[in-house]
Amino acid sequence: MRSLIRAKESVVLLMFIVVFAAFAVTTDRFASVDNLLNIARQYSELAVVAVGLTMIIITGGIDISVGSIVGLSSITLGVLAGQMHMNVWAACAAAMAVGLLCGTLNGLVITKLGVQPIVATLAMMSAARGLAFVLSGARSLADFPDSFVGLGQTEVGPVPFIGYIPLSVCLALLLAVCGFVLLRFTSLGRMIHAVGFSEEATRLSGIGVVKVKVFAYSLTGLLCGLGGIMMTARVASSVPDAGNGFEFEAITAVVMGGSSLRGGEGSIIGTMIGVAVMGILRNGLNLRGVPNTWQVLFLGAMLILAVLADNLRVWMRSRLESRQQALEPSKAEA
Amino acid sequence: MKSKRSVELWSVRELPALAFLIIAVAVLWIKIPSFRLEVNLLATAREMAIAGIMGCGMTMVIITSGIDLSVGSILAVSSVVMAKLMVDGTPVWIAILAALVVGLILGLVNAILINRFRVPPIITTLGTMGILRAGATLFTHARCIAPLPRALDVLSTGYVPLLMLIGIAALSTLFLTRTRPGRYVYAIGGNEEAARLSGVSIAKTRTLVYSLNGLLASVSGLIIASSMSSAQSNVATGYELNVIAAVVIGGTSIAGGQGSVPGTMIGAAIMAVLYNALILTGVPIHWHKVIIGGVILTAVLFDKMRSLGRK
Repeated sequence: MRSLIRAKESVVLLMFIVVFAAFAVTTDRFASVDNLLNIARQYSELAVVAVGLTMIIITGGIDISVGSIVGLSSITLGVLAGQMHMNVWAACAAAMAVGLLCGTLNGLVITKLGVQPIVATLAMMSAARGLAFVLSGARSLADFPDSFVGLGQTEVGPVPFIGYIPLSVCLALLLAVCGFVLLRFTSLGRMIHAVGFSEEATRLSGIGVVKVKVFAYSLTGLLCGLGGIMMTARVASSVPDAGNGFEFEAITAVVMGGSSLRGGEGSIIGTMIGVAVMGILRNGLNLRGVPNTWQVLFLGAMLILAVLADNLRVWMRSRLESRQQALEPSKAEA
Repeated sequence: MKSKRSVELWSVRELPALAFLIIAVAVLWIKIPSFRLEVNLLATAREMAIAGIMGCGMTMVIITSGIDLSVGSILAVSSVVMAKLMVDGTPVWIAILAALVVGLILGLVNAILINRFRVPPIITTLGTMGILRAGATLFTHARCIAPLPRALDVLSTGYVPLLMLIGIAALSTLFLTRTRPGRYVYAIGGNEEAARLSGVSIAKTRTLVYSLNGLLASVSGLIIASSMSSAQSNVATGYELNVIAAVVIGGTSIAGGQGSVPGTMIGAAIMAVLYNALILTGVPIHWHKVIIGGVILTAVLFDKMRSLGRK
């Protein structure tokens, strides 16, 4: 119980269990392996992007341009491979480079020019989305070689009990593990936390705050590029408004997962569960025939509920700690 | 003497934005005959009024180092409620009053969530943005409510929107610079802890600011509903970003503690003139977003350069 109160992922885990149980009981098609894998496939791109966004939010920043960067890199791929018939793998590399470039630009504008993250990425959100429309002429592009489109349908396995797992899901899980290891076990990960916890103290201890921040934004840009490629492969076409609204879904997932927008704390595991909650909520409501409008309403409510529940958890933790402190002197006397 | 004057010049926050606006208007005035037409100028002024009135509230919110992403959704809810009442035969002025009350209450709800439950402003308003937009859609069954009574037309005719904007901006400026709660707005944005320790009620100030912001969103909703003579649930979707852009272009710092309503007015004017110019010059619509993004960034960079120059 105590460790549950301490862990920042407990709120989102509880939400996951409640939502999952509710749909499993009320909808007969929901809890099938096929349906769950389908959700995982659809939400793997969001998961990839959310790994990077978690790091940005831990540094105390925010990035609302992720959806637009996903769209721009998807269109880059579409224009180069679909329209100009360039080698599809070279086009993928170009798409990821575009994502990386956008992310690095965000990071440099924020650190070198001292522009607030929300303003810098607001400008990028507008500019990248606009460019996606300009480059594509507002058309969707679909003329990809089979070798690439097949990638979106490739499955790995068989894994015992589950069967075949989509390649994109494996990729997302792999990246989540890498992100987890990076944040938990490397000095870079500790620096990311330190920057968010106290930027001034971090700077005074001789850590390159600029480098750490630029790394977080660049990595997120790169992951957005990858997300754009994954989305293009999944739907076998690239559309200029790909990833529209991604920023809000990703921020919701990260915050539900227990990361604080004040910076300094956050968890990749929490974020992944947050993405899963989002996925099963959307899917379950779809299966029950709930219109999209109501889904948006539910998501908004879940977001606020998650933060309220987390406040409750922090309050319980502080009570727990003060009680322990009260107990300890009496032990010493005894 | 000369150096003193140049220091004073640098210390005017709004200067770069104002210079940009004057140059842009001058160029358009000379180069594009259709820009000078009264019809076009009035339409541009109306667009400016819609963003500017919301911008007054948003400026206050941002000065407290908060943010409100739900203004577009508040606008939608209040205008569909008003339209429904009007269509059902309620007198126009009662329906308008109802819209304003709805806006005020929704702003209050944001404030309560932020104060009482300590949900950060960006999360609270991100949540209410989704919830209220969905609420508006459910309320109207995604149908357009029209036609609205002709009596409402006056709100978007001729100079009326511009006059409303001037009145609201003047009141907001007076409030921020000449009243005690107004100074509290700057105080909690500058240093919340210091403000709290000096006896400023942070909760009260914040409640006031977010409620006013909701109210002003519903006022902009009146102008939009009047000019369209209808109301629908997807009105002003994504408008919050336009308003925030206008505020930021006007030199208000997202970090809080600094900013002014006149600056926001210049920001709103720049956005309106720019959109108008893009349309008049026939720039393909997809370029608009790229250019607006560039302008936001340029404006913020100018502001940085100005503060460096002052040092």
